[in-house]
Amino acid sequence: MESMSTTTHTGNESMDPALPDLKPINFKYGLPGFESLTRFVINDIDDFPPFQMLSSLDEENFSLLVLSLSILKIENGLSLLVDTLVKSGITREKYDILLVLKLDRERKIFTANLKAPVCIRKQDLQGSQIILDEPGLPVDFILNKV
Amino acid sequence: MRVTQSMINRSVIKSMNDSKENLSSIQNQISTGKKLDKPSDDPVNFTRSVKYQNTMNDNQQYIDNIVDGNGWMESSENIINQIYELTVDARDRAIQGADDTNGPNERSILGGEVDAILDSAIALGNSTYQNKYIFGGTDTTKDIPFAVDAAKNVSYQGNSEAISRRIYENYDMTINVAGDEIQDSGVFENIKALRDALNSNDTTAINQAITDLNNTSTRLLSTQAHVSANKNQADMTRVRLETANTNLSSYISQTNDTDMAEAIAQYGIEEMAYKAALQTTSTAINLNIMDYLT
Repeated sequence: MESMSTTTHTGNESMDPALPDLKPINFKYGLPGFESLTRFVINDIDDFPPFQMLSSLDEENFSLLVLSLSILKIENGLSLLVDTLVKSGITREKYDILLVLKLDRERKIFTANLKAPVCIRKQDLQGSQIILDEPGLPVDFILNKV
Repeated sequence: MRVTQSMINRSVIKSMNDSKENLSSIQNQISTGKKLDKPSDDPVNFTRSVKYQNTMNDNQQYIDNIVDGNGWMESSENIINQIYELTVDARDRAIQGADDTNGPNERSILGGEVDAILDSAIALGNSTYQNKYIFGGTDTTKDIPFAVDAAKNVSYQGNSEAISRRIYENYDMTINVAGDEIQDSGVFENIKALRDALNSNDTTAINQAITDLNNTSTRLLSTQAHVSANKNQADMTRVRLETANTNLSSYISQTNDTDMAEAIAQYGIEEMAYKAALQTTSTAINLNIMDYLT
């Protein structure tokens, strides 16, 4: 996505002097598959407002495509996700919840991993990708329209 | 400088061709789905992408192993549960048989029922999954694990070897329960002993069978719980691997693959630019004498 302009939204660490010097989001255990990467920021993608990038501060040009749960209409599979998160003590008031997206190239659609959302505690910017023990949550929830 | 009509034409045609070339390049990206075709395109990202692709392939193999292992474990768990239920049924007959209100005839009838329970337990012990004996150890295809003689003495013919599947890097999980563990629970021996005690109207032996069957039930439950715990662990590992692969895919789609969202977004912009150029050309070339007169 290097040709797309991005702006730092959360967890900036002096990447842009004009922005406040916020701490990065700390992922103590990294992310599944990328356990060594522990510091991230969230970038908005200007040309694609709903989509964001979870970008590593530890490895150059490393980003995951994510979408905030807050912009989605909570229904169907997402209701189950929200209910499951609440049961685990994770509320949208206290946490920013991001869904990691994957492109299904054959069908040309995005899918979201509802089984393992990225949860960022707003208070101290501690993040974790939590694997939820709920069989009804798919790892490839079809996201046709945002 | 005087701008002639031919200069306008040349300009708009060049603009149109530039847009068309750009559009063609992006369309090519979309159709191939690859931004990095060879290491020299971007050596760092290429190496990293190959590494992550290999990790994804490994993870997928582990996931496949888990799915296969889970089938085996689910079958084992299910069969052990059914054998456990039979021991409970047998113990219920034992409790009935131990009641002083029953005489030899009633106990003989109960003995017949327990004999049928024993047959069912042996049949379950010789169950198969995908045409392989579940409780034969690694000896899954030759002889039935539990052989039985005319007196219903049961002997184990399999081995004690573990069947394992690699479910993570450097981690193998045992997915089977060898039949000697079932045999050692005393299930066949104790059900047979109860049958014989009922048929011989021996209340002391019947009461002993109640105690022994309780112990058997406890051991079977423990074995079942162990299988269940392994299966749960495998399930959690599978979800973690799937999550890792989702993350890896999410990353790869932005580097190795042409990011479809980006390409489509650009395609839209370029297509508009191309159409705009066409429109300008059309306007420019279609100028006629009337346009100069107005």
